[in-house]
Amino acid sequence: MMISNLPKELVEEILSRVSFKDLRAVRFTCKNWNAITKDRSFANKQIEKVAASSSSPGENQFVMITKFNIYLIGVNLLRTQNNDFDLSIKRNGTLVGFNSSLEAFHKSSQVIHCNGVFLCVWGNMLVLWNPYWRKTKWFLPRHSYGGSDLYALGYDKFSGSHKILRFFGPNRDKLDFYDLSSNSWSVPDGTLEWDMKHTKSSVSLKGNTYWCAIDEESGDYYLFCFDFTSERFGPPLSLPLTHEGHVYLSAVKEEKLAVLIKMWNTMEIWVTNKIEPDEVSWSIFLKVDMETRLQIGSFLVDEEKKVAVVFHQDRSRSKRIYNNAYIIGENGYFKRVDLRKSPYTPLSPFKCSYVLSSVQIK
Amino acid sequence: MSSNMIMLKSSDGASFEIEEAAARKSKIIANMIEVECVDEDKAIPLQNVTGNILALVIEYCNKHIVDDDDDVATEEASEEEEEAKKKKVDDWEAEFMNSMSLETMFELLLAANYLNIKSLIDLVCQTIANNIKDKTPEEVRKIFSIENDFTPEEEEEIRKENAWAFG
Repeated sequence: MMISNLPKELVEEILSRVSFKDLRAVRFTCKNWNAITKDRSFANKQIEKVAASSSSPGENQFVMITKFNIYLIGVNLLRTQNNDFDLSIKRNGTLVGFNSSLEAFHKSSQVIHCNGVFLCVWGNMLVLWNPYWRKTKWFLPRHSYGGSDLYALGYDKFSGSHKILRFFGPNRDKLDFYDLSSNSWSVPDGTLEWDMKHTKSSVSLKGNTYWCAIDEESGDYYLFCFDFTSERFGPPLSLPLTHEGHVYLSAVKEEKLAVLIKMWNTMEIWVTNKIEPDEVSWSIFLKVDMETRLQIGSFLVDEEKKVAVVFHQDRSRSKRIYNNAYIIGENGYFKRVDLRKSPYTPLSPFKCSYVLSSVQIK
Repeated sequence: MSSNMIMLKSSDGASFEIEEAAARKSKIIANMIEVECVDEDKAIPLQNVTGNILALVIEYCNKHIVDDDDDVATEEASEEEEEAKKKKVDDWEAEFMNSMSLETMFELLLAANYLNIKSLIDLVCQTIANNIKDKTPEEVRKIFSIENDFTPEEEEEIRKENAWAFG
C-alpha cells in the first residue's frame, strides 16, 4: 500500500494539511502533487486548515524589511496572570528567492498589501505578488514614473479581482487605474476633490483604501475612501477629533478601522461601529493620559482583550527601529515592552500587514 | 448479546463486537442503524476493511466514545479540567498513531473514509502530513516511495514558479 494507491481526494486531504512553508517541497516532489497544489479549491482548503490549526488564532502578521532580509513577523498579544499582558514576536518566514525579488522590496518606494497580494513600486516598475502562489507579475504604468507618485491597491467586492489606483503628476492630481481582470489601464470617472499632497496615513480595509487628510482652509482632519468596487471616491468622512494632534490609522481584523490620535498630553484610540466608503461612526476604545513624545510607528487593536499595542519608532539616530512597544488597556493599564530583548532586534518598522489568500494574479 | 452491542465483520471474515454508541462514530453505520438495516443477530459485513485495520478503527471509536460520555457528565468542568482532558486525548492519539507504519496509516485512512469517520480522517491525514514537515523534496520522495518524474527542464520551470516565497 502506497500513497499513490489512495484516491485523489484523500491525497488532497493529506497535502492540504501541510504548512505553508513546506508546500515548496510538495510541489517539487512529483508532477501529480505539483498539479494538486495548483488548484484554487485546494488552496482555499489549505488556507482554512492552516488558520484552524494555528496555535495563535489572534495573531497579526506584518512584513518587516531589514537591511538584508524581508521577514514575515507574527505579533501575538498574550494575557498572562493577574490581567497582565505580554507580547510575543516571532519570525514566521523569510523571503527566499532570486536577487531581483529582494531588490524589488528593498528599493521600492511603496510596498502595499491588500488581501494576500503585495504591490511593490520599484521606480517605474510595478510588481504584484501573492506569496501563496509564489508567482509575480511585473509591468509598467502607462505614464512614466514621477517622484511624487502614490499608489493604492484594492479589490472589487463582487469579482474579487484586484485593482490599482495611481496618483501622479507634480501635485498628485492626475489619476490612472489598472484592472487586473482585464489587464488594462483606464482613467476613473469623477474628479479628484482632495488635495493628495497633504494626505497622511492610509489603510486598506475590505478592499477599499482610506486616507487621512487635512482640509487646507479649516485645518481639520478628515477621512476619505476610494471604493474599488464602484471605482469612485467617497465623500469626506469625519474623524473623532479637532484639528490638533497627530493621527494614525490601523485596520482591526480586516473588519473595522481604528484611529489613534496623539495630543501633547493624551492618546486616544477610536474604533468604527460602521465603516463604508460613504459612512462612518466611531466609538472611543481607549484613552490614556500621558505626556509623551512618542514617535508612533504603528499600532494594533485587540478588541476582545480590550488592549492596544503601540510600537515606538526611534528616529533619534539614522537607523529607524522599534525599540519599545507599549501595551495600553483599560483603567490606566500601561506597560512598556523592551523590544531590544526580542530575538529579532533591531526590529525594523512594519511595512504592512499580511494575510494569506488564494487570489490568483494572471 | 446486549441490545446496544453490534457485530461487525471484516473482509477477511473476522467478527468484532462493538457498542452501538462507538459504532455510531461511523456515519455509514449510524445511517444503517437509523434505517434499521441492522439485524441484531447478524454481523454488518464491511467488504473494504480487513480485520487488522478494523481492530484499529474499533480501538479508536471505543476510546472516543468514552470521552464523549465524559463531556456530557461534566458539563461544568473548569477550563483547566477541559484542557487536561484534551491533552489526555491528544496524548492517546499521538501514541495510537505512533505505533503505526505509513502503510497501515494509508489503509486506516481508506477505512475511515469508507466508514465516514470525520475525526479519524483528520487525525490520520494530519499525521501523514507531519512526515513532510521541514523535509527536502528528495526526503519526501524517499519517505513516500515516490519517483521523481520531472525532467530537468520541468524542474527548472518549477524553480522559477516558486521563486518568490516566504520560506
